[in-house]
Amino acid sequence: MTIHKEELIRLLTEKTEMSPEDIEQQLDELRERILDASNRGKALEIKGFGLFYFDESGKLAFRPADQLDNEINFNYAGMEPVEIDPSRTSALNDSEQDDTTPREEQAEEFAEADEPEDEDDIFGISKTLSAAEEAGTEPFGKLFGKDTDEPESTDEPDSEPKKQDKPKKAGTAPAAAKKGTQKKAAAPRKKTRDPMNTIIVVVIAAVLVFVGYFVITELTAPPQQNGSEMSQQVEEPDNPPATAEQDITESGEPEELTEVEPTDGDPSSASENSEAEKDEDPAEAEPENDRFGLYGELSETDGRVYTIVVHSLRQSSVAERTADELRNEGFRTSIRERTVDGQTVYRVGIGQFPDVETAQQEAATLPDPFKNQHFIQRLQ
Amino acid sequence: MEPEFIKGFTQVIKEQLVKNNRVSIEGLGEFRKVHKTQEQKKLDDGRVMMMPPKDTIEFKPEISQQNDHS
Repeated sequence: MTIHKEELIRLLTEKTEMSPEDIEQQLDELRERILDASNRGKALEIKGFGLFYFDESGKLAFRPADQLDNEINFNYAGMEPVEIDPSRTSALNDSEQDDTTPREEQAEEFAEADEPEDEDDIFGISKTLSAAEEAGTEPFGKLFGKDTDEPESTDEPDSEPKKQDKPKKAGTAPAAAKKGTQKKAAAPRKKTRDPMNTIIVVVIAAVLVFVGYFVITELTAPPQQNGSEMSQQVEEPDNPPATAEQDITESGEPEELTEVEPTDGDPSSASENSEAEKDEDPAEAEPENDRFGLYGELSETDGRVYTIVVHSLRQSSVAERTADELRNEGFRTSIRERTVDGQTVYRVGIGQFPDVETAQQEAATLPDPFKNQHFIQRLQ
Repeated sequence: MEPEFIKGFTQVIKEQLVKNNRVSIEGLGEFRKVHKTQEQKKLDDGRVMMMPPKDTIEFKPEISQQNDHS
């Protein structure tokens, strides 16, 4: 159905309690504002709604705001892109971990390199001073005396500016002189220290903070955003089986499907399988229809196999219960354990298909709860 | 434009789009909701992702820059 001008004005009148004349005037004004903005080479943004602008071809275009886009997509909240071949993901994760480890070590190394300088300055001076006071001797006799074993301490021109640097801490001239020698010991290190190292440390620290913030937001975001039935099942693990059962029994065909054996370990199905194995190879013996499809038993196949994931649960027991119920409905049911954002989830899939297209076609025939809330996943 | 009008305008358009109704604004164009089914997408790094289904808002304009400038 298309809402035209009259209907739109009526709806806006109800919503805003403005008069129809005012609404019409506001709509005209909106049009004028958009055209006026375009004449000035600008776009008109309505906060929470979107952006009107003229594209390269000179036609009026509209880009919805994120808020509007999210509200329109509330049915699919929480659904995220899924990698079809997950083995590559794990490989990437490993490489990422390998990358971060040396960076952290490097950062620690820099931190350690910075610390000793301060410690030498602080504790070295105080030790020397206290020892000199106890002995009652000139603490820097060697420095100002005949000769010294350490060639560095004889460099007086360097020591003078250091005296000015820290007179407060020392309080006495000899102490200041000693400080000069301490600083001198640290000075070569400062010279060798590459300024790029400092920049790298700062950049790495910023990256780590950003990554940490990103990880925290990613971990906390999904429960807040999910408004769909799947998220409720994840958060309230006691309820999902009942919900799933109700959904399926409303639209499914329970009488026909209850004949399917509920578990793989059932003796009758085992005996059937063994009979089949006696004659020929099971992969060849079973026709294509028996190996793939929504209904039946899971069977071993060669090559890639896809399934339709309808539940993603955090507790294996709940996943087992849900899978049993689906199995009782006659679906080929499988549970796959996956790690998403560091959390283990149990994905309950139904059906077994040779390719994604077939899975998508079959998914379109599913009952209503699963028809729009599913995704295709590769089983093997 | 009145803030009250802007707020009501946004809400009405959103509500009608959620109901799968099209909204035509005279002199501007028509808003409608378009459903996109899930699809496979190959990323630059070679990974193949299954993108979830989503609804998008499409806008069919009634005016163009040339017409209004003339």
